[in-house]
Amino acid sequence: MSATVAPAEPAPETLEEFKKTWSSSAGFIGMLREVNNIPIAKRYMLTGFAFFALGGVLALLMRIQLGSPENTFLDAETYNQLFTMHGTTMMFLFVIPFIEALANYMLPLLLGTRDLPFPRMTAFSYWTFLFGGIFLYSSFLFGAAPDGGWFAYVPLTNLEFSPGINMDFWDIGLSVAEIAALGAAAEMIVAILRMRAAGMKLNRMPLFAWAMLVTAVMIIFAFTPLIVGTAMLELDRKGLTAFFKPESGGKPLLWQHIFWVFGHPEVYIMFIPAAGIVSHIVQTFSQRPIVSYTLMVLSIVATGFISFGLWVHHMFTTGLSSVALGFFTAASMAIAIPNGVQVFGWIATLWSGRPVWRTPLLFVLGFLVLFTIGGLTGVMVGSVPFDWQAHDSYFLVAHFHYVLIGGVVFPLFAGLYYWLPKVTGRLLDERLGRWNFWVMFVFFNVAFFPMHVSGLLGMPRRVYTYPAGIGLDTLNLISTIGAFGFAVGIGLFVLNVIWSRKRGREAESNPWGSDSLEWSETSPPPDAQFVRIPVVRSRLPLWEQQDLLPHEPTLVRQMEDLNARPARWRGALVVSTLDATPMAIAHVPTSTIAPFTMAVAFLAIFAGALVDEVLMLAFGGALTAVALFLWFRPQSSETLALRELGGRGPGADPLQLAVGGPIANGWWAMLVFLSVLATALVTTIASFFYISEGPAVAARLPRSILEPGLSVLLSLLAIAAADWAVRRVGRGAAAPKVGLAATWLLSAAALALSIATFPWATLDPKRDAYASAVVAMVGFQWIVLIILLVTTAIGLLWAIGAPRDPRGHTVAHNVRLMAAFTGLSAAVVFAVVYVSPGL
Amino acid sequence: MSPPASRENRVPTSRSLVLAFLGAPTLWALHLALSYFLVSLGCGTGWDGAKPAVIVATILCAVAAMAIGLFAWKQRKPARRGNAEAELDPGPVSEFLAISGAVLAVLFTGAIIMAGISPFFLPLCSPS
Repeated sequence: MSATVAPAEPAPETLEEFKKTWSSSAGFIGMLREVNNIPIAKRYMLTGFAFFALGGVLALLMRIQLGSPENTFLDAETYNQLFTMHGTTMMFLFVIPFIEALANYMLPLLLGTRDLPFPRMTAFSYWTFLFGGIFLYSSFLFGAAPDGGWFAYVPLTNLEFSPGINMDFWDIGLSVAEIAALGAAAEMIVAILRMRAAGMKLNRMPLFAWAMLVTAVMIIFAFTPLIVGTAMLELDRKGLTAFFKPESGGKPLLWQHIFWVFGHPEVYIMFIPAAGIVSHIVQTFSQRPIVSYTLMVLSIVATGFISFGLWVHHMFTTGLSSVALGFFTAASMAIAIPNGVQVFGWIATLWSGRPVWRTPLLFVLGFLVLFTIGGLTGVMVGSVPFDWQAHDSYFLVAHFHYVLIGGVVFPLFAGLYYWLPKVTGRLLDERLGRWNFWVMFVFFNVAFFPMHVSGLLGMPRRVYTYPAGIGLDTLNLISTIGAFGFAVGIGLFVLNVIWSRKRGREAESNPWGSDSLEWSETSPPPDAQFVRIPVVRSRLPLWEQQDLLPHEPTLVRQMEDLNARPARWRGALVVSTLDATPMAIAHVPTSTIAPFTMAVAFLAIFAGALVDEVLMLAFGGALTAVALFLWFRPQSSETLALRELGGRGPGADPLQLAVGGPIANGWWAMLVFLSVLATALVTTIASFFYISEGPAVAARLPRSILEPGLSVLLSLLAIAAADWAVRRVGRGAAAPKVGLAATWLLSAAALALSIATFPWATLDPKRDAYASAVVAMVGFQWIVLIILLVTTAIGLLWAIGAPRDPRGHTVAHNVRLMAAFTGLSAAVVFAVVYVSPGL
Repeated sequence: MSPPASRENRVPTSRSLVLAFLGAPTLWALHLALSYFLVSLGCGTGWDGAKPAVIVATILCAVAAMAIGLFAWKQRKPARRGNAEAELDPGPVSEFLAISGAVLAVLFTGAIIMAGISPFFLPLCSPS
C-alpha cells in the first residue's frame, strides 16, 4: 500500500480567493442572477413544498365536499377544477420538482463534486418551474382553472366540450413545468456520469445517485412524449390541427397512449428516487452495508425499463385486443420482481443490522408497510378481469395514494428528516418527529383505507357528490376525518422545521454516523464545497476509508492541482464514466441574469399563446434572443480558465481543461438533447402510424418524391460537411470555416426546398387528422433544421472570429452531432411520410 | 509490436460492457413494441401472419437476450485483490457490469417469454 501523502494546506490568500469565487450572489439582483446549486435547490424545495401545501388544501376542500352525501359545499364545476389542479399540482409541481431540488442539493455532495455541470440550467429550471406553477394557479384568478382531469382525456378536453381557456392553462402551464424537468434531468445525467469524485467507479456510486441517474434518463424518455402530446392537444384546441378529433379521422385513444406512455413511467420516476433515499437511510440506521448492492442497482435499472411497458394497463377498459392486454399484464407482473427484490433487500438489511429507530427510519418503516399494500393492490389492478371491475372507482384512488403517498411522500419525509440537518445545520426535534410520523401514518390509513371499500361498493372517481343511504356515508366521513388528521401531521412537520431552525440542536458534519460523502462536509455545507476533492476507494468511504486523500503519485499531483484551486474561476473535476479516472477540469459558469431572462421570455411566449396575443409572442421571441446572447457569449471567467489551463495538452497529468470536443460537458449535454429530439421523433412517428390506420391515404400526397428526396440528400450531405469541418478543427486552416459554411448552406437549402415543395394545397390539417400527422412529421424536421442552422451559425462565428479557441471547437463537435441527427431524421421522416403510405 | 492479449486477459471494451448491461432490457423493449405493432397491424388489416410473427419475434428476442446474457457472463473478470487498498474495493467496474448484465438478461428473457405466450392462449383480435 502506498503511504498517504498529506497534501499541503493551501495558502490562506488562495483559500480566501477560492471561497470568494464560489460565494453566492447578494441582494435582490444577485438573487435573480444566482446559479449556485445550494441556494437554488433551497428555493426549489421551498417552492415545491408550497405547492404541496396548496395541493393539500385543494384535497381538503374536496374531502369536505365528500364528507357527507348530497353536500352543496362545492358545485360540480368547482369540484372538477379542484381534482384537476390537485392531481396536476402533486404530480408536476410538487413531487418531481421536489425530488429534483433534493437531487440538485445532494448530488454534488454525494458525488464529491463542487457543483452541477450546468448551473445556468439549474437556475433556468427553477425559474421556469416557478413561472409555470404561477401560470397554472393564476387560472383561479380568472375563474378558469383547468377542469378536465390531470390526464386531460380527449374528447372531453377538445375545444368542443371544454370551450373556455381552462385546459389551455393546463396544456401550456404544464409544458413550462416539463421543460424545467427536462433541463434538470440533462443536468443530473451529465453530473452523475462525468463529475464524480476521483475513484468513484460506477459500482462505488451511492444508490441515490444510481436512482437519480435512472430517473433522469426516464424523464427524458417519458416527459418528451407528453410535451409532444400537449403540443398536439393545444394545436387541436386552437383549431389548427385535428389529431384527436374523431369527426376528422383523429384518434382520441392516441391521446391516452401518449399520456400514459408518460404517465406510468412517471409513477416510477417518483418512486425510484424515493427508493434511493430509503436505501441510504436503511443502511445508515441499520449500521451495516445494504444487502446486495448489485441487486439493488439492478432493481433500479430493471424497474426503469419495465415501467415503460406498463402504460396500457391504464387502458384495459378501452377495448384493445386481448393479446395486446396480455403483453402489458405480463409487464405489470414482471415489475413486481425488481420491486420485490428491493423490498426484501431493505428488510434483510434491517434484519441483519442493528437498527436505530430514529424518525427517518420510522418513516421508512411506514413506507415499507404502505408501499407493500399499494404494490399488492397494484398487482390486483394489473390483472385485466379485476381492473374491469375496479376501474375508475375509489379502489383506484386508494391504490395510487398508497403507492404515491406511501411509496413517495413517506420516503421524502424520511429523506427530509435525514438530510435537513445537512441543509440547515440543525437537527429536527426527535419527539416532534415521532409524533409527526405516527399522526401521518395513522391518519393516512384512516383517510385512504376505507376508499378500497367504497370503491368496491361502486363509488366512482371524480364525482362531486353521492346519494345518501347507499353505504358510502360513513366510509366517506371516515376518509374526510383521516384527511384532516393527515394534514395535521404535515403541520407538525412544518412546526418541527420552524422550531428546530431556532432551537434545534446544532448538527455536526455527520450526525447520523453515515457512510457517504455528503457527511464529510460541514452542516450546512459552504458555497465553496469540497475545497479538496475527495478520493474514493470504497463503496462506503466514510465507514471504510481512513481518509479521503489520494495515495498514488499521479493522483496526488492531480488532486493537488484542485486543492482550493482554481482560485479565480469555478472549476470542477471531470472523470471517466465507468472508472471515475480523473480526466480534466471543467469550467463551471458563474452568476448571470440569462437563465432568469430566458424563463421570463418563455413565460411571455406561453402567455401569448394562451390569449393569442401576437405582441406578447413577439416580445417573448425577442427576449429569448437576448437571453440566448447572454447565455452563449463567452464568460470572462471562462477566458481566464483558458488562459490558465489552455496551454495544457491532452492527457491527465496535468489535467487539461474540459473543452474542445467530447471531453467537454457541453458535448454530453448535446447527446442528451438529441435523445430528447429522438424521443419526440419516435412519438411523432408512432402518432402518424396510429392516425394513418384505416382508409388508404397515399393518394393525397404528391406523386413525385423527387423534391423531398432531394431535401433529404442535402441534409445527408450536411453531415459529411460537418464531419469534414470537425476533422480539420484546431489546425488553424480555413477548412473548418468552409466545412461549417457548407453545412449551413446545405441545411438552409434543405429547409427551403422542403418548405417550398410541401403539398400545402392537398393537405388540410385543420380538418384532416392524417394531414395533421404529416404536418407534425415534416414540421418536426423543419424545427430540427432550424436548430441545426442556429448551432452551425454559432460554430461559424467561432471559426471565423477565433479559429484556435477550443470553445469554438466544442461548438463544431456539437454541430457534427446535430447534423448527424438532422440527416438521419430527415431520412426517417421521408421514409415514413412519402414512402410508407405506398407500401 | 506487443503480442495479442490472450482471451482470459482481454479487457472488455466500454461498448461491449454497455451491450452486456443494457442489451437484454433493450431487447425486451423492442419485443414489446414490435409485438404490439404486429397485433395492431394484424387486427387493423386482417393480416393472418400477425400471430406467427409475434411468436417468431418472441423466440428470436428471447434467444438473443439469452445470448447477450451469456456474452455478459463471459465479459466478467475476476476481481483484483491482494493489497489493503483493494480490500475495500467491490471489484472492477467491468465485472460489476458484466454480472449485472447477465442477471438482467435472465430477468428480461423471462419477461419476453411471459409477454410472448399470450397469443397461445388468447384470440388475437377479440376486443376485450
